[in-house]
Amino acid sequence: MGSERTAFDHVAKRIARHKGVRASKIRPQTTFLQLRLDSLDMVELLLNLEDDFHVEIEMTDRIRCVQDLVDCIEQARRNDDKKKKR
Amino acid sequence: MSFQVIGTGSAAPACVKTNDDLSEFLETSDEWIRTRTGIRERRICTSETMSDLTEHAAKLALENAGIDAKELDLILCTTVRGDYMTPSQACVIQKRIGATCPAFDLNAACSGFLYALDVAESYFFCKKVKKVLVVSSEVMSKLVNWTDRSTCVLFGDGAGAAVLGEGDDMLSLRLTADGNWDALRIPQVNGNCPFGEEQGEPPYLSMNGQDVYKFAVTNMAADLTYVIEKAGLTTADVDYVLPHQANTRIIDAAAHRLSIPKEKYVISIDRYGNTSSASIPVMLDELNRGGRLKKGDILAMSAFGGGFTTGAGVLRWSK
Ligand SMILES: CC(C)(COP(=O)(O)OP(=O)(O)OC[C@H]1O[C@@H](n2cnc3c(N)ncnc32)[C@H](O)[C@@H]1OP(=O)(O)O)[C@@H](O)C(=O)NCCC(=O)NCCS
Repeated sequence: MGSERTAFDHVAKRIARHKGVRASKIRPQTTFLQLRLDSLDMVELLLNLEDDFHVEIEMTDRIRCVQDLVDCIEQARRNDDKKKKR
Repeated sequence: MSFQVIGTGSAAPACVKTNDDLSEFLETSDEWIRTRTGIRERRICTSETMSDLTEHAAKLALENAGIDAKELDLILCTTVRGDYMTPSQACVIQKRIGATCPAFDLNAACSGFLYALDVAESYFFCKKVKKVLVVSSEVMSKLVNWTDRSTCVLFGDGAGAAVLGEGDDMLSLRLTADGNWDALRIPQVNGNCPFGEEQGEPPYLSMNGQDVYKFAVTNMAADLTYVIEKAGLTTADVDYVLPHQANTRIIDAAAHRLSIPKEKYVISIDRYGNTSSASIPVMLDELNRGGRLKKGDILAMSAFGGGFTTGAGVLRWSK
């Protein structure tokens, strides 16, 4: 839970900085449509998050709200950990 | 020894097509094109040929440099496709401007101008030349599929040229290549060989926009950081950034990653669209002719394109 909360906070801060909105206004269920992020905003956001978390995030139609993105990051981190342990 | 820029020139076809003009036959809108790319209009060759544009830009650059074409020791033309497969565009221009020196084409897609500067620098370093003409010319309107709204709205036609003389103004240069033909390509013409067994792809530009976008943002920021440092400078020393004009969103995103104020980024995509390798020399000429450059100004240039290729460099202005 701890790391997920941090991941969410970080993602929210990134979005807030990108769109000039307050991070506290962003909830896990807030959709990217509501945030008015278009497809290029999404690409840029993912690029930045990939750098921040050192993971590869695949852009899919399933990423609709902020929590979906946080889940993707967590999944990518778990896959990365597994790879490292092997 | 590298070189100094002693003259610049540029040319664009007369016909202007706005986003609204394109909306008449494509399912697109001024709003989509403007917000996704920053493009408002582009120039399209109608009766002009690439040779006309190239000749015009080259002659203006020679005039600006105050030299005669006969004084040139080398002509480098960058283009993804000249008017002919052979002769090269450089040879066509050699004839048209009345030069007598060796001339050849170089294709590094949109990074062509920087690649040509790198080649020119080596010629100067070996003392093989005293005056070089680099001319970048593109007629992208003949290479895009005008029924594909995701690509044809992005490009335009134009030419930009620079005359180089002996000097020490190219402070750093970096080229990269990362072979990839999935993200962006324009297939060759097919010919009509009766023994050919493959049909071949239609000769139009195809592109995975988001892959190119990612590549561009990451590399533009990294390349600019590298060449500025390599030149022994900091971002604060840079007077103008001349980024390849493919999409203002790419420029904004790269700028976000660098500490150079936005006002220093030169933008011309709103008027020309993406003119491939011509984009940087056209901006250089506009700055020069607009009286916006003063002796000692530091210009950071960065381009990326099909290949993938990237080219970046820091140039001191001393004209
Ligand atoms: C080309 C580019 C502007 C496309 O932006 P994008 O956000 O990736 O757009 P997508 O292809 O995901 O399309 C998003 C939507 O807009 C639509 N669309 C594409 N082109 C359109 C146009 N001209 N007008 C209106 N809608 C358009 C798509 O059909 C898609 O619709 P959908 O969501 O209903 O499926 C962008 O990817 C880009 O600039 N990439 C870099 C390209 C580049 O620099 N190339 C030159 C290298 S030198």
